[in-house]
Amino acid sequence: MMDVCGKIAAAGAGLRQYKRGTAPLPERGVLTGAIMDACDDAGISPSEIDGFATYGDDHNEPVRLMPDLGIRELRWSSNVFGGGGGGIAGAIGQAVGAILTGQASVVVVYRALVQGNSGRLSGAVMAHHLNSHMVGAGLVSPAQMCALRATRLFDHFNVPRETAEAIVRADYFHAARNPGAVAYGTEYSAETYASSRWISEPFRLHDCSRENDGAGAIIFVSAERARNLKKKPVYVLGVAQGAAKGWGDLLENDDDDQYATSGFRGVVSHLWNMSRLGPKDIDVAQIYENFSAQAVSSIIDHGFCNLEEAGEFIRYENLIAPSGKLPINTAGGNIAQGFVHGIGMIIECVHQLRGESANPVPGAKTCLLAGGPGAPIVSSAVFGSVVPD
Amino acid sequence: MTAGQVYTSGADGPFFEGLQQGDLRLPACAGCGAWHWPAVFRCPECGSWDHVWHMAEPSGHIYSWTRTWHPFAGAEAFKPPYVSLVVELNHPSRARLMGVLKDTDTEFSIGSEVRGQPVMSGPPEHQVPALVWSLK
Repeated sequence: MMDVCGKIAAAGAGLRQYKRGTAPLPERGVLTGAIMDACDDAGISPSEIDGFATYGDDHNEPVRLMPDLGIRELRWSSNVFGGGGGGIAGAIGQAVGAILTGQASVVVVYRALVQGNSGRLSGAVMAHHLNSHMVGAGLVSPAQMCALRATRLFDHFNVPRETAEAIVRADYFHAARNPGAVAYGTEYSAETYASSRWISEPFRLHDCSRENDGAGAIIFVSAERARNLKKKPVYVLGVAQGAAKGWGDLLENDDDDQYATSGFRGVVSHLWNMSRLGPKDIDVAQIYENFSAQAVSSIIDHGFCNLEEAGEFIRYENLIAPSGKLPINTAGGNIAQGFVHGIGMIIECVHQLRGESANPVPGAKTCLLAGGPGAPIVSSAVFGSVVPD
Repeated sequence: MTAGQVYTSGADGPFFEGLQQGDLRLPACAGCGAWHWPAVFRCPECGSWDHVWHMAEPSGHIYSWTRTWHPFAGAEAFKPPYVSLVVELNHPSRARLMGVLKDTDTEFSIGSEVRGQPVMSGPPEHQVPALVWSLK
């Protein structure tokens, strides 16, 4: 089997983000801008792009991007199944597979979301999952479905609710120091969190990601090619997507020992095997938080702590850069940097490992991208600034 | 689909038909007897495509819950705050079913025993058969 670790690298990244409803162009225009930014960042001509991969039902078919980008030939395009952010790292896996097998050479991983074109994200996600079992129970939104899992995590497994608060506060801490974040310059305290209104218990408004208009693009090429481009390569050390038996769209009948997880049981073992790393080797992490509690169970799923240790490990002090044990969401995450269906989290992995983050973790060599948690298909990736021996 | 349309996987059609007639029915494999919920077309244990729908007591305990405060689009028929439950049946299938909790003034938690009543629920223009739960 082909070794993946360190063979493919991110060479450029671009993000354009606006307050919801205020994008200056329709979705495809914003996306074209983000791809151009990524090309400039990499020092690659957009005409060289020959592959695209996305997730979460992105509406922008790659072939329609060709004229504006001047693409000579499209050789690869794919979209990972699922309506949510579960496929985010899976899209990176698509890019890796395409390049490693010679089916494409310059692949853009992208996601664009402009409300005027694609409507509200929560509605689009639920279009995948809604059924009469849920409608009859008044359950119509991702927030409520994730809230059910959170209640089980907190009340049955006794993971302290303060862990979710710690995620939110760490996000806002980093966003306050990131000029590119929606919450830049915002003072945030435990009191601010407590005053946030209830959405679906145990979630308050601040436990929920709130979407922005925008688009993000990351350019992947072979590691060899990346070493001859403008910026320092950010290597893909491992990537995995999928679901273990007993997890998925099961009408809340997921296996008892998986119900309160984020669904990464299968994915993590592949991820660590492929990257030849483990949780102890990770210097900084972007933990996708559609909702705060799902980030908590994602951290547990990825092996940074177990259910019993969660209260001690998932504390605010541990989660913030530069000195926390596991700085997370160092641009502010989906909750406070901004939410273009999570694409900003891949971009922060790139920035962090190049030393370009607004909240740098000194000497960071590895960065985990834990993809959209709690989705029927989940995925994660590990990036490195160097390739491990 | 959008909220308001009835959607079943096809495999679970008899579940909704049963509720409409006031009964809770759950499927077991006709070949090996294994309970499957959500309903399947094919039994992964023995490969049979035949199923028998058994009557079941709508009795169980709260597996998880959420109290909704936000007026979500598609849930206009429910007046916030309302409580939605995941109930694990005491029935041998141990199937988990969703539904709204009727009486929320009494204290409840994961593990509380509840009893379901078949009702029509959801958007008035297109109600769906459901169970509404009461604390025992």
